[in-house]
Amino acid sequence: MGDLGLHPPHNRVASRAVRWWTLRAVIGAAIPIGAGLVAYAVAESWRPWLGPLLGAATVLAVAHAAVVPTWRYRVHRWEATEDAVYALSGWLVREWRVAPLSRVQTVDATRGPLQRLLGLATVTVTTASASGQVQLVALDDAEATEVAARLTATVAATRGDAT
Amino acid sequence: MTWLRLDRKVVAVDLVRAAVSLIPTAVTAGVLGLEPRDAWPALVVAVIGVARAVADLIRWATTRYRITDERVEVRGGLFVRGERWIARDRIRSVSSDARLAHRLFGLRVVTVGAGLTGVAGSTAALRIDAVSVRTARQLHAMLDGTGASGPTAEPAATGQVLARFQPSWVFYNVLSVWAIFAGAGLLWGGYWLGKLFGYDAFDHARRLADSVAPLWIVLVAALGFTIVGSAGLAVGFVSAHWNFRLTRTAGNLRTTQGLLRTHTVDREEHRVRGIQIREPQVWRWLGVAETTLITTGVSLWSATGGATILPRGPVSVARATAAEILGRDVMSRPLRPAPRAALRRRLVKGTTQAVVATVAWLLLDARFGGPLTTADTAWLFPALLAVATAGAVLAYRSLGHAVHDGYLVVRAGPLTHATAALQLPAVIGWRVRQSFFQRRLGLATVTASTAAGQGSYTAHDIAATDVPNLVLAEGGGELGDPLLDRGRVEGGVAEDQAGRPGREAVAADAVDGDAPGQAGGDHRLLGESRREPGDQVQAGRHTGGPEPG
Repeated sequence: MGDLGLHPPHNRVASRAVRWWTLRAVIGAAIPIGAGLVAYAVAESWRPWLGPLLGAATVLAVAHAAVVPTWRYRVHRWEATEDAVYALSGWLVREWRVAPLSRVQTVDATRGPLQRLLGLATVTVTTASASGQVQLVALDDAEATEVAARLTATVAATRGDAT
Repeated sequence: MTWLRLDRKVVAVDLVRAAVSLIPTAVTAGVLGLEPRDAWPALVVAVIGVARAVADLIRWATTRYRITDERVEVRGGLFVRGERWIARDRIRSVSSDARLAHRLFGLRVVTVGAGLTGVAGSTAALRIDAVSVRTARQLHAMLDGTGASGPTAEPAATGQVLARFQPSWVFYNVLSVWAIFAGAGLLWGGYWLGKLFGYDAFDHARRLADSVAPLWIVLVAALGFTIVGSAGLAVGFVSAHWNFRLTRTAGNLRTTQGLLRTHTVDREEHRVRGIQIREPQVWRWLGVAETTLITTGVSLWSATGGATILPRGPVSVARATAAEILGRDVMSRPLRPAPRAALRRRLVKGTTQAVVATVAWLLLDARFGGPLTTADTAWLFPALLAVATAGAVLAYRSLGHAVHDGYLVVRAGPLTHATAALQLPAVIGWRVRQSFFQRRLGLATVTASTAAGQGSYTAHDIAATDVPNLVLAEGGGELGDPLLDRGRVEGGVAEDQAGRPGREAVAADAVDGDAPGQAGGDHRLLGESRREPGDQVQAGRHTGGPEPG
């Protein structure tokens, strides 16, 4: 029923992305839960309500880390043609984004510490619009470099002020 | 070109200002005969006024500007020397402003805008304060490239007038929930003015209200505030917009306005990418509308000038003016309403919010002992549900989208009906979002990114089957193509059901779009005969208002 009739972009992200998303989920959940555990150990009067809260948070975090990365990997796709960059992302909420290369202002490839560990990179393509950014998340490092170089070359060859 | 000084008459303006700031002191000391101890507010006014005049004299003495073929430069400052220049082909807007003192001496403050909309506070690239009316005209002429160098640069004072001040507009601008606050502010100002001369109005009022019931005091005060506030708003509007004119002059859209303080703004018309008309829901039955340009290089947030090209006024005028500027009437044509599923989504969301709010309230109430009694709690959920439902219905009813004559037209907003028409060639990216529930309901939200205006315009909750039509209806490029690459479609859904009608509509639009100068009447005929297949047009949903032209 909700089929949009949009074709999925051609390429999947690197399969190591699952590990990256899992690590991020684990680290992201470990910090607040750890803080909660410290509070649990220190403040005795909070225990009656903090205990169940921490338990629920832990269950949710584990479920999130177990399910969402794989789910994301199945959804996330990208494509960079000669005319446009095109990305599909999300899990519960899906988002298709397309930006024509003739309107692209900058191309960035960024690698966070976790991404460097796993040999991943994120390519961010921005346009003149504040909301027109397209992100190709968690590509293979070498592939990201190649894509960024190719996009930059195409953009450089385009005339006009891209608005 | 040599460096030029600001106009010599700025000195006179400063002297007048310094003299005016001394008046309260003169009155309190000379006429009322108050001791300095009681008249300190007047003294503060005098000191600040004189200090500012002196600072302005220093600024006048040190500032130089020049206009070369490539750039406009300003430099100045006594202790900290500053210099600023702007390339002339980067100038996006020129405005001149004159307070009463400036007008008496024939001066104008010219502000040159470079359209750095993304950078806070930098939309005014250069400010030249102040030059003679004649020089100001030459600076305005820079915008359309006719040059500011020669004395012949006298732009036509008249152009095609697109809109003109109507006395009835005052009425539209007085209708505001802010009237009561404006009234309170004005009376508070009046109270302090009275204090300045040793009169305590509050004390007086308290003695008057001594034997009156509190309810009446509140009612009378609210009424009084509203009346005073409305009068204040009326005076403010007339003084700001007196003799308002929107004209098309030498490729620029120019607004001129002001009774005592005049304000003229020129903006390049070829940067206009569309128009947005906002109708506050509360006043929609009266047809109140605000009109802004969707344009690159002009600040969206400037109250006077910038993107605002019409003051609050009747929606019929707003639509007619929009049709004039865009060259075709796309704002008054019917939009495709959102599917019923969008209403269901909003109702479910509203109900959920009401439930959550009720539970949260009751929990907090039970924990901390709030002001509610048991009888009150019975009303809590129905009341919240009613508000949420009303909000959902209003939000749903305002939804709509269409592609008319190469323009993407979208409408949304529960409290303010905002209708935006954006040129499709100005769209520089699409974003299609579909949440889990939207997928179940067959809906999707499509956002068009653009460099102009607020940066993105969104068609909320359109039917999933409409998405290909929308992203393919590109008035020039092949922006939507990657989304629907038919060579690789799995299952061929896009090809047969959705892709084709969209393409045909584009072709028809392109033909239509080639003739921008057509009269409004023709457009209506074209609009009737050129509706897209499957476009359900419900006359009742059309936002109403008399047809312009």
